[in-house]
Amino acid sequence: MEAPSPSGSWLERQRCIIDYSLQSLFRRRTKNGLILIMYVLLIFVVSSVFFITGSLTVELFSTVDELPDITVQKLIGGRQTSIQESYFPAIREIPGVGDVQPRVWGYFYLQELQANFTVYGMDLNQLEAGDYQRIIDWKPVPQNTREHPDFRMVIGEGVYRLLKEIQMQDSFLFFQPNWESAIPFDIIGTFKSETQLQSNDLMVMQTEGARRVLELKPGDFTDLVVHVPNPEETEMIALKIRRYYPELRTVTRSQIESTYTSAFNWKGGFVLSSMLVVIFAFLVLIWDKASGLSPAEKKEIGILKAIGWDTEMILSVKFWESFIISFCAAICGVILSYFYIYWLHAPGFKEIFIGWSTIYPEFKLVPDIDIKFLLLIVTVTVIPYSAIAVFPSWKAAITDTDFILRNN
Amino acid sequence: MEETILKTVKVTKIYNQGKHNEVVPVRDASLAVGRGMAVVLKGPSGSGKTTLLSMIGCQIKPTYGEIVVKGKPVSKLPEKFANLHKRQHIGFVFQQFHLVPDLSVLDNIMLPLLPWGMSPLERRRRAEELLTEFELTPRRQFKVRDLSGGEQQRVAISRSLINGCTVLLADEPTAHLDAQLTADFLGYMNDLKQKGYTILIASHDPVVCENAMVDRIIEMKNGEIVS
Amino acid sequence: MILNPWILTLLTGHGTLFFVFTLATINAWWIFRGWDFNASSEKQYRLEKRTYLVSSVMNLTLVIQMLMLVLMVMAADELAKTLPGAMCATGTLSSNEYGFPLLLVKIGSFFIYFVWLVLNLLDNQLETYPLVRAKYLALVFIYPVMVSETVLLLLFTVHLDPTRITSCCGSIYNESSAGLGGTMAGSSPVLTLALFFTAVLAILVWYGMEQTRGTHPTVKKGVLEIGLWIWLFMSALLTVISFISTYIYEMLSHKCPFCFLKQEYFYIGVPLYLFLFLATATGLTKGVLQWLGAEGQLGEKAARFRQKMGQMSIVCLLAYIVVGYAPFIIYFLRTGRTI
Repeated sequence: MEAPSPSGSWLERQRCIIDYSLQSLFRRRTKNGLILIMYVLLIFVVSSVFFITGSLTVELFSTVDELPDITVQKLIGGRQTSIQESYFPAIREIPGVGDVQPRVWGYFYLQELQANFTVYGMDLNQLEAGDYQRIIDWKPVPQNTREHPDFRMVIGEGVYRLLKEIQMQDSFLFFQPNWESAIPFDIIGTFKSETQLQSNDLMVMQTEGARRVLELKPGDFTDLVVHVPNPEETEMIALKIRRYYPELRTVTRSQIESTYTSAFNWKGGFVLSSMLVVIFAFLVLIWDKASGLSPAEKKEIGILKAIGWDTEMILSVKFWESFIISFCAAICGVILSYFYIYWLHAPGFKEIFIGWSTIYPEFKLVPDIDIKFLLLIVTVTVIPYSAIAVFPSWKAAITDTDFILRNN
Repeated sequence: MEETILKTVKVTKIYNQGKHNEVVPVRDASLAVGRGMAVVLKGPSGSGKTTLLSMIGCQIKPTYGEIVVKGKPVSKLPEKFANLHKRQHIGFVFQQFHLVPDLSVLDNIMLPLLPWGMSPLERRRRAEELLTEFELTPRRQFKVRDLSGGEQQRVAISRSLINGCTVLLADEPTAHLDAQLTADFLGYMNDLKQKGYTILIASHDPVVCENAMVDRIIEMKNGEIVS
Repeated sequence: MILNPWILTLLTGHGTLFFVFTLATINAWWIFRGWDFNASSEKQYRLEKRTYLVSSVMNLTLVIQMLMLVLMVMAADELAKTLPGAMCATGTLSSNEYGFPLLLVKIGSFFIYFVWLVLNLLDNQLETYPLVRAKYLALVFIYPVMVSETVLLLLFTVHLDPTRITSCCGSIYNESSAGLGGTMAGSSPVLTLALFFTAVLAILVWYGMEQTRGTHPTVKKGVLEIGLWIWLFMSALLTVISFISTYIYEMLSHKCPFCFLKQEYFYIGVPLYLFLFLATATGLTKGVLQWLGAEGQLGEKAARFRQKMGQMSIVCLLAYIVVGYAPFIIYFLRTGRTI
């Protein structure tokens, strides 16, 4: 038998080490299998959080362009009240302002169904004629709508489903205890499901009808939206409005964007930080398991050293063992999570993120995968696990061969 | 003048030096083994022969003294480099064989080759050669724990030879063997000696010491070489 | 803000590494104190065994630390979405007084860690481990850098305030604004290009001289070489802001050094910075290797390493120049003029 040629390259050595690591993992498949399962679950939760916040943010940002540049509200005693027509001319005059539009909208709470609806007033004829026409499933116009053109509405899918439960899907009676009589509204259409995120709990009605329901006086509006053609000027104009009228509050689109993103991230972070407890417990478990290397494992290390393996190589084997487990767990966890979020639509998880309302949109989450996100998963999970697994292995690897072999 | 393959110069090993439980298993041991020789380190249990053998085999480092293997002083070498030298030149057969019980015969034999970064094909080829030589081919996929004592010994010897070394060290190789297996073992050693291997065996078995292939016997007592 | 997933990740990753680094440094100190290669005592054997741990652990830790620089820039970019006024990493980093210092420390530490890793690799290939004491002492001195990184990171993340408006890159890297960003953006491209290419020329001449006249390494030469590469790195950053960015964005007023890391600019920033950092790291290492002299096995090995580092640094430098100046060349060929 001739002597082998001098040591192969680093790459070839790593290949041999990885070969051995895989074999070693397989030989202890019960123990490693359990660790793998726990690890996959952990990554599954972490990546689900990331996926859902990512997708919802994408969804949100796709609608953000529709948001008004500046929303102007009136506050009295820190609470929002209706804003009067008299403000409009002055605001319109501010240089840089493109257009000013008053809005009538609000919330209507239905006790019986414990549901909060968003009521929005506009000219429904414009809705029928304009771009939005195609996002509505129009219903045949009932006989008596011509007598009450103010009392028509288009509702979202969520509203429709609820009203169907109380058999009011064609005509709904609005009533408050302080009203003289109920006001019947005819439902002339429902919003299509592709707009669910925005329209699910929405009731769009004729402006005058909305005024009645929301009890707004003539000449009063809920708020104003200001259109600013040049985005660089938005902050300045908002500032001017507040200066002229200290009782008015302005909310810019970028402020809403930030708030939503923060809220998603906050919720995501909240879930994650409660995961930190689990992560910590997991790390302790791993340390405990790994530091108590079984006598068989210790003996194996002793044998390897006796036949000429370096401590470095043994540490490499242990490193690759933990890396392979954590990396496979990462891949499996991410794939499972992808399946859960985008195929099964995240039952149970979605509700934590998208709202407090009893009406949950059924919209489909759009996959948003970023390479940065995968890097994050690796940092949070693979690195701590691989790093910690090295210490206990080192302890075994440096023990005198003789000592191990005599005592095991 | 034959080439000296193994040499020790006043080698001493001290455990727990300076403490109340200080132990000196080997003291001032000096010996030399030439190429192609078969030498036996003879002595009763506790005479230090296993420790001395382990030091020559780069398993343990001496506290004092120098050890030279194939011309290279190894006592001061850091573990990494001592291991490299060991891998290249020395084959060791342990008293308990120390095979990995969950691995197959083939995998056990190939184990010393992994640090070389050798390709799987080349590893296999060398292992198959040894399997044939030691008549282990029918057992190649068996787990080592399912083998008999004699078969395990042959696996241990194969493993020690796979790196192409020409120096073989064996520690009490016949301790757990019956007469027939002992004779088989000595037969293998003789074959290797004929091929030019240098052999150093630590044993107190008279059958080994009195075998015809043995060129010299070095006696140890209480950690010192007495003859 | 601390509950943001990106921040949690940065803090977790950094925290783990800090813990591991601390343990390794403690061991490094013991090794430094007690190391005596010629001793055969059990204590020396124990120390030798500890070197395996410290070596392996530090290899892993420092590589990951270098990756954390990348992660931090990515996180800063993502966090910009939650900070009002911020459009890219610049906005995030300038949102409080700890952002840019953190980045600077991280960049500096990147190079320090790289040099240490190469020295460690070199030392482990020599039978007498000649650099053990020096490199573990160095580790003890590097530890404060790690500590300051961690502290700055904590301060930075704790002080991130989504209600405070921060400046966007357009206002920071603007000729008319005060501060370092403004100065860098306002510096004359001719001057910065001259500075940069003079550095390149100096390095090429230096390497050429080494090849022709032979290489006898000295401490002085090493210091000079390190100085050259620092000059090159700083002037490269200047040219990125004052010149290269202009042709990537094709806009005179957009000079941000972070925006072109994004997808809309085909991630051109990634190879650009990768090559620049690698070139500088290998160049600096080559300079440090000069300090090891030419004697004995160490000198021989160091010479081989110097050669490799030298080759890598030139290749990466040239790659950087190609990637960085391609947009300018393309623009010029397309329009026949400069911006």
